[in-house]
Amino acid sequence: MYAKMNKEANTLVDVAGATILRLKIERYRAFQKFDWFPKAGLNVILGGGDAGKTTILEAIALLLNPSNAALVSDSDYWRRQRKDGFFIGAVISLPPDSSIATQSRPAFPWEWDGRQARKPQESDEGEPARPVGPPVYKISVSGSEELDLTYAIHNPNDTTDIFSSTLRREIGLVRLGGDDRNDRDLRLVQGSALDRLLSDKALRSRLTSTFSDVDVKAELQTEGQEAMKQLNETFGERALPHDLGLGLSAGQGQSISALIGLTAAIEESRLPLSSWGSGTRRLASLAVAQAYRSGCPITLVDEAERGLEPYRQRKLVSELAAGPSQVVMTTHSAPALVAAEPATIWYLSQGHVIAELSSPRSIQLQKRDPEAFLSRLTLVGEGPTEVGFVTEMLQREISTDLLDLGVRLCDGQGNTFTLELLEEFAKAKLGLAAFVDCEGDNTTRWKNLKSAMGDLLFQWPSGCTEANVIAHICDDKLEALLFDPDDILTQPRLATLVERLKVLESTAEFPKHDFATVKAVAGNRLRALIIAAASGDSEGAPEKEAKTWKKHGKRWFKSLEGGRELADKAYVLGAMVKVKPQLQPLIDALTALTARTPKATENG
Amino acid sequence: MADAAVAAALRSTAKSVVVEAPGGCGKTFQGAAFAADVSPTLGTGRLLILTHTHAACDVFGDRTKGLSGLEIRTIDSLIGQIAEAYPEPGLSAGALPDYDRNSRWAAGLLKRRPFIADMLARRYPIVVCDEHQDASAEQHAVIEALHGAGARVRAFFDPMQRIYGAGATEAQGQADDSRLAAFRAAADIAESLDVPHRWTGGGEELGDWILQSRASLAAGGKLRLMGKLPRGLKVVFADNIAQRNLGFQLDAQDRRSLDPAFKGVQPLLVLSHHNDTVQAIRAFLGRSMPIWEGHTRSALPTLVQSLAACDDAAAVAKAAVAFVQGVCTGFSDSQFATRFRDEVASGCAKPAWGKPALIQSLARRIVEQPNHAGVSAFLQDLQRATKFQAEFASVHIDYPREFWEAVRLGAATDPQVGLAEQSRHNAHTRRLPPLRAVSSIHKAKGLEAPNVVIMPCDGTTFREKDRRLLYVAISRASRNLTLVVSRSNPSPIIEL
Repeated sequence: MYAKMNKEANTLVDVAGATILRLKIERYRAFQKFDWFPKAGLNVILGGGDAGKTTILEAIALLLNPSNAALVSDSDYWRRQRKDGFFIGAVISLPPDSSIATQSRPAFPWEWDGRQARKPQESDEGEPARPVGPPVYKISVSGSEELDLTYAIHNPNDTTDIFSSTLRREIGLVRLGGDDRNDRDLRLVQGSALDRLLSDKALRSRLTSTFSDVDVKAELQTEGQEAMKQLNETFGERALPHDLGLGLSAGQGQSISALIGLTAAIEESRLPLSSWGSGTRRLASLAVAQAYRSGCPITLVDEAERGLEPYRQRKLVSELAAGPSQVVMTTHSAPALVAAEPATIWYLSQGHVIAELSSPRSIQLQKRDPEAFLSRLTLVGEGPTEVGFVTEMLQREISTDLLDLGVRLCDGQGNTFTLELLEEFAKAKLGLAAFVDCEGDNTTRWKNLKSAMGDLLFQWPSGCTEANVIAHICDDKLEALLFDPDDILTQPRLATLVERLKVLESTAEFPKHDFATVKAVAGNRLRALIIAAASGDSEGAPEKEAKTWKKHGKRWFKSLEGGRELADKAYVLGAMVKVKPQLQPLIDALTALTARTPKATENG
Repeated sequence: MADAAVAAALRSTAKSVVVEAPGGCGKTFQGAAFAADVSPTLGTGRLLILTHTHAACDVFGDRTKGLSGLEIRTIDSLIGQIAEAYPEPGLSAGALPDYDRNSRWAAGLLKRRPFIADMLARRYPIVVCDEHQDASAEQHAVIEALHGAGARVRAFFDPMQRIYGAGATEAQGQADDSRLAAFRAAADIAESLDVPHRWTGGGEELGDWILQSRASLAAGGKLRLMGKLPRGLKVVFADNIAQRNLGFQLDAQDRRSLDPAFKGVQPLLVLSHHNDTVQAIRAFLGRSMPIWEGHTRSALPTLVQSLAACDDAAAVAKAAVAFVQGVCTGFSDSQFATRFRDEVASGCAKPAWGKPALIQSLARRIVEQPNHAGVSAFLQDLQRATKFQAEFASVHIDYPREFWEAVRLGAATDPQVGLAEQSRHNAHTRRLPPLRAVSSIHKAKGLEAPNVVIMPCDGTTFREKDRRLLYVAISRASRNLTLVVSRSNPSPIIEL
């Protein structure tokens, strides 16, 4: 966590590689407008399906495309409207030895103030008007109405220069795409990681001349030889070039070297690496890319989990997190997300708004319950009681399994923590619902949350879940409430009541530790006594007992199982009739959600 | 030996090396050899050679042909590039480059925003400064910034070749001297070149004498023309009898004694201190030799500046006359200019005949178009008149390039922009002086010629404070130097 804090204080870490500090996307694919300030190091983008996570990766990939061969089509334009073109721009910091300073026309840097690239402007005597920021460059690629791509470096004097493919190649880009067929970086395709690594410019021409020496004609069968002979005669008759032979020759747009890829020995033979599994291919691509020069190209990883078992996901992600490169990664995998440390976690909402989940609260949750970030809807219960209670209640009220709906129940670990977490998630527009007590504080914040979340936030008007439920249990059902179906906690629960009664009635006698005795001593204070014990209320406790009293709740319903038991008893013992009208809006809102969204499994 | 020591110092790993380099002692040779050795070793970086004039760029360019990893440019162009990359707020685009303002701005930027100097130092890990004595405080600050960012600086300088134009103050000179001295004192290595290579192969005696004279003048002494003169040096005694201030005229006898120096078609450079004298010398020589106009202009920028402030035809006429009087001789107030201005002021209304009618027709150009286009039309007519009208035969265009540049400016929409374009063009057209030419000492700085005549060398042209100017003048000559010295009005810095 300390590493994380440092990174935030210093948006621009002194890393060896290029780092995108700001990414702007306009009218590209589904994004009409998108503005993002990624961090150095590992950036993990989470978000629901179709939120556009891959589009962000594709945009960066296009911007840093190492070749000029990229093609765009109608569908790359927002709403297929080519008229206004599209624009992908970035503010990027480059390593000190970047050739941007040594190319024939040097590009002069801008100055990064943490939010934008500024022109260095004052020069009179005295102290600088603002602190000196690190140097950065503005680069962009834009698509024209005619489907042409223009790569530009934007200078502080409002002119532009070409953002050359040489420079793009030097910045370097490693893509571990979601695309299974992609083994580009394991081949000698121009601009690929392998090509950059070997960087032997003359290889192509040497190979071409070597290949052209191969006498293919000699390999032909008799019929083939005969056909060649005939063809040669025809060519001669028609005054075409003749004395024909056969040799390897590169076709248009396809170079011979593109047919060359890494191979590896397997048992007795050698096989191209591209025939290995997709996970291995992805890891191999990354290794090749990292071996090149600085070894810290900007790395894009779509669906980190693809083709990898959890242990290899963990290994890949923790290596990326520890490495010097800036990485933008998407994942749907809990093990991958847990391994992402140090990292910045981002949530991309359906509205293409991206928000950082960086509070200590959410970082803790990322470790404890990564699935809370990876679900369609995260239902936060304030504590285990609430999580258990809601689970039980929803099982009875909604016929479908919550997990199938993509709803993840998660423990907010207390009222204040839950509030912080909810605020952050709501701001990031995560699918969110909550079930919480009312402790009577932070009224305004809860009110704001309520207006943001509507019926998806349920908060008791006052008090905790235990108090609100037990209040509606008839006097004659109180013994049943106390009774543990497994009969393990029945006596301990009775004991909590006796302990409290002994303080209240110092003269009282307890010949037997049974309900009848307790009831007799407590009289009309019995319900209040049960609520106090069940909610671990320590008011009125002798000083040295206070701690013990606080723990009383655990013997009652303060656990996942206890929460379920409480809900079950609310139904069985009749309290639910009174309680349910309050809960109905939440149940309805969740039901509506299930009606709207197909089951995750049906999504394919 | 100094040459070897300098070569070693240049190639050392020292961050700063300064070399005192009197003209003709192989500075360019040293610089070029160093460039050849070091530029291939810089990887993606380049060796940057910064000069003060485009002519010097040419010289280095010729000596380093075929080398890659090398950039040769003027320090003003580097500064201009920085100022262009980060435009100063409030400056209008396309205007005449204001070098002083640019260098203040660029020096400030480099000081405040070290990343700019860092970037430049990575691009140019080694910077060679030519004629560093001519660097202004701001230009020097730019070099210091590059040095501070890690570039290795190699500076050649010769304090004796720092000469000022009109209007320079003594305080400025002192500030420049002490800055240079501090720079030299702070350098990791300071060396001096002292072998007069330019004079090998026949001019050795002259070369030695010039270096001795340099030492003497630098120490506040005099140029000694006593005793046995070196081979190649001639002293001709002649008195300037011109009546006009800064004019030039000799009596018949003196003139005859000078004839041998001007005979033939040998390359020849005639040098004089003041522009007016240069024009007078041209007339004295029967206009047989052109004036070397150099790469910069003085009357034309003044004209453009005046025109920008003009609000009526009379003011335009005044500016036009000032220009013509700057680049021509003979367009005097009494003969032409007064009448011309009056005609413009009165709208050419009065009928006139003869010469006044000719002047009126010229004035009409300005009345019709009281702006730069009118001035251009007037200049064209004037040029025709000097050729075809006997009344104008006394008017001579001494600076034809500048004259025609003013004519061309008539076609520009905005004369400021037009002038900026022309001065860029002039700076980049690597024009060489004619083989035989008359030149001011200022414009001859950096040139060398086998035969040089300096005249007049008297108390008016070479005063107590003109020691450096005198050194610059004599060091242009590589074989024969002729000094036209006055007995009646001797120069206080020449010992006869």
